[in-house]
Amino acid sequence: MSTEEKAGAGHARHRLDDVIHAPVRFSIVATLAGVDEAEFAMVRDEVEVSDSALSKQVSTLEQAGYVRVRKGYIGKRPRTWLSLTAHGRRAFSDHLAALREIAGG
Amino acid sequence: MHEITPREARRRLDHLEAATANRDAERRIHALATAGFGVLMGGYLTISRVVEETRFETVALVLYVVLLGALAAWQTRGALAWPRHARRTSWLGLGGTFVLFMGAVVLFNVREVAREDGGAPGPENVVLLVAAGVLTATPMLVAAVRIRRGGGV
Repeated sequence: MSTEEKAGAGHARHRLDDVIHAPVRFSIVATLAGVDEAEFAMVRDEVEVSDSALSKQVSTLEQAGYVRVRKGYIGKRPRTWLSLTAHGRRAFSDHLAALREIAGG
Repeated sequence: MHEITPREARRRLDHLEAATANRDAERRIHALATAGFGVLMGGYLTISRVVEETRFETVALVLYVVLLGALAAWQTRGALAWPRHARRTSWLGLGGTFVLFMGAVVLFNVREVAREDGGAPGPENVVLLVAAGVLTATPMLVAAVRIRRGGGV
């Protein structure tokens, strides 16, 4: 990236994604980044939040088009699976690039 | 605009590494299930021909269906996530195994008709049956290894 381009893009903090930046949502997206799809309960346990807190944050991510929610059954038990959309993966990748730039000083 | 220090940014990146750590338990389950499906399909291809037109023919079919169902249930209930690229790898393995399975069925049927037309009806060569079973299972076994090691397709 040229000096002019860097100046145009501004400081890396301007490129942090508003939706992903919140700590719990960052943890959710980070967990989903390593999988094709994960059960709601697994994400809840890994992020260490309650069902309702996770639901709320997932709704925000879903509205932003970053997370896909799929509902189904295993036997008679209802299950919910979460996955990142392509748009969500791109946004997370850009967010990480900005974080790395900031971390680099 | 977000105010974030380099230290906080590093802390988040460290957290990311922990969150995306290799999902060994899930990889093991999906790899074992994928290998199991391959072995079942290859095994059934061989065994179904060996026991063809005997009283064990139906037993083999029932056992095959029951084991497929049990394996699918174990996989679905045991794994809470599909590690990255594991699902696609598994489906590609299944696709390859299915194509080889169907190809082998057609080949053995053609050979059977040819034997009958030649006036020498009889069972298929067992070595050929076993080789076809192993070959049929191979795509899913390769997929299983890739899933276990964390490689995608």
